Amino acid sequence: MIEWFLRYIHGFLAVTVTGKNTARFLNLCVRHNIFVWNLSMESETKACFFMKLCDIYALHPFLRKTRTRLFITKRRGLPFLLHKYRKRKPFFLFVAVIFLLVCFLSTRIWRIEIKGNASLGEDTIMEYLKHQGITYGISASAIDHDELELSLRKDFAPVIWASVYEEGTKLVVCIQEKIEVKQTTTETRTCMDLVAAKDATIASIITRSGTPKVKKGDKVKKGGLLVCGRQEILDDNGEVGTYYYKSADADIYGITFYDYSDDIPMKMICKKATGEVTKRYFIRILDYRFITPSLKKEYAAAETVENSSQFCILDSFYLPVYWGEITTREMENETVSVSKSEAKKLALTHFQQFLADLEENGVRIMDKNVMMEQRENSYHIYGRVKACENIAETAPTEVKQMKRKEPVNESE
Amino acid sequence: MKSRWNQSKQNKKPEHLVEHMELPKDLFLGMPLLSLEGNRTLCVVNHRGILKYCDSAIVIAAKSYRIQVIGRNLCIQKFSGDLIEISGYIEEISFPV
Repeated sequence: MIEWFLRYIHGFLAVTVTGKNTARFLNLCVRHNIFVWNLSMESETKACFFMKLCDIYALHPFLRKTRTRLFITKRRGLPFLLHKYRKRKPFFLFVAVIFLLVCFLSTRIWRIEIKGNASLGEDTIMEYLKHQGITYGISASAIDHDELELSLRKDFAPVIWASVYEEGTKLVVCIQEKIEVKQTTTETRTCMDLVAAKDATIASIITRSGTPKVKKGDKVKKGGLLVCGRQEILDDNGEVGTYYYKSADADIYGITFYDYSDDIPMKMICKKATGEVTKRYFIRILDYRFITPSLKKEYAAAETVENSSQFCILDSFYLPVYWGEITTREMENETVSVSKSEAKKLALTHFQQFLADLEENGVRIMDKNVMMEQRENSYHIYGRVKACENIAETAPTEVKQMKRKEPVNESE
Repeated sequence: MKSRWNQSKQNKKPEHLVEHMELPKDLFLGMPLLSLEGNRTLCVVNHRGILKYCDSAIVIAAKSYRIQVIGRNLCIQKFSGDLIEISGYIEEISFPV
């Protein structure tokens, strides 16, 4: 392929040689480093082959020596193409400008992709990159990958690993975030107690460190002491000799109750599509956007959806050219009366969402009791959810000072 | 005047030397190197030109003998100072002196 391309660039000829000494002529050619290919003998006195354009001028002495004659049958390659279209200079100029433009654009970044982010939003990272001077159109060579990776790790606490690399004109920022662990038993310098985070009945308690103050079945109020970090060390008389302080650590689960209430109105305002749709197309080059004019008048209430695509050559050569369509649907507000069965369905969906939110926060649902009653203008849903959850939270331990006993003078 | 026996002995000497030293014969003795891909392509390196050429037979000159290739639809794909690439249906290769 490369060989063919080079031949095409330099130009090549299909020639026919006639005469009695065609084999000698060919041998003379190759002896003088003239490369020929696709050689075919039509008869003993006629040979057809291809050769480079630049070699044709060196053949004259061999032709005279071997008394053969040469005819050019085909001319192929770029030099002949340029000669043929020599009067169409603007076309070649246009091709050259496009080529240079593509070469220039290929050295810039036209797409930024962020991978591996979970808690950090894409907008946050994009804003940060913008602040660092990395925006669309920046030269790829101007980006210091190592420095950017380092600053990403330094400036974002959750980022533990970052990798920045380029794929064509696309910059890929790949990050890894650390998994947040709830620091319920974090070692702190000050001694900590465990207290109740909410009113509950103790379901289970497993103490690893500290003195437990409650047992299974006890009812606790919010802020009530569960496990104390202060331990009393008794002396020989059975009195408190000194206090030993170590942060309390325990798994304490309590039974808690969540009240639930929801109202679903009997009449709801729904947005409904009228069926009228307008489509407009746009093309955006850098920040300049050209939109086709709207043929219909603007709707009073409408919903607009925009789909855009970026122009990409092959897999990763993105260019700053975007196109797409804007779909506008006319909407109208409609008042809909909700039946009891519909309200029930809707209430169930809301309640499921409420339970899912609780479970997401580590709450285990034990029992649920929900009722629905019809009021004047709405359906009222109310009930109670019985749950089991970790109720311990840390609070600083009260430090008690030991009273020094006055030594008793036995002689008095 | 050297006898015929002495002459053949002198010619054999470098060949034996090259064989003993395990040197490439194509470089040191100018022997042609033939590589064949099935019966479809033949590459000849170290040739001395073509002597006869038609679509059923090609005769190539080497240093001390000829290489005769017989077949059907024979065509020289590449022809340069040190390489000849022949394509077609090769049926026979012989080395007449």
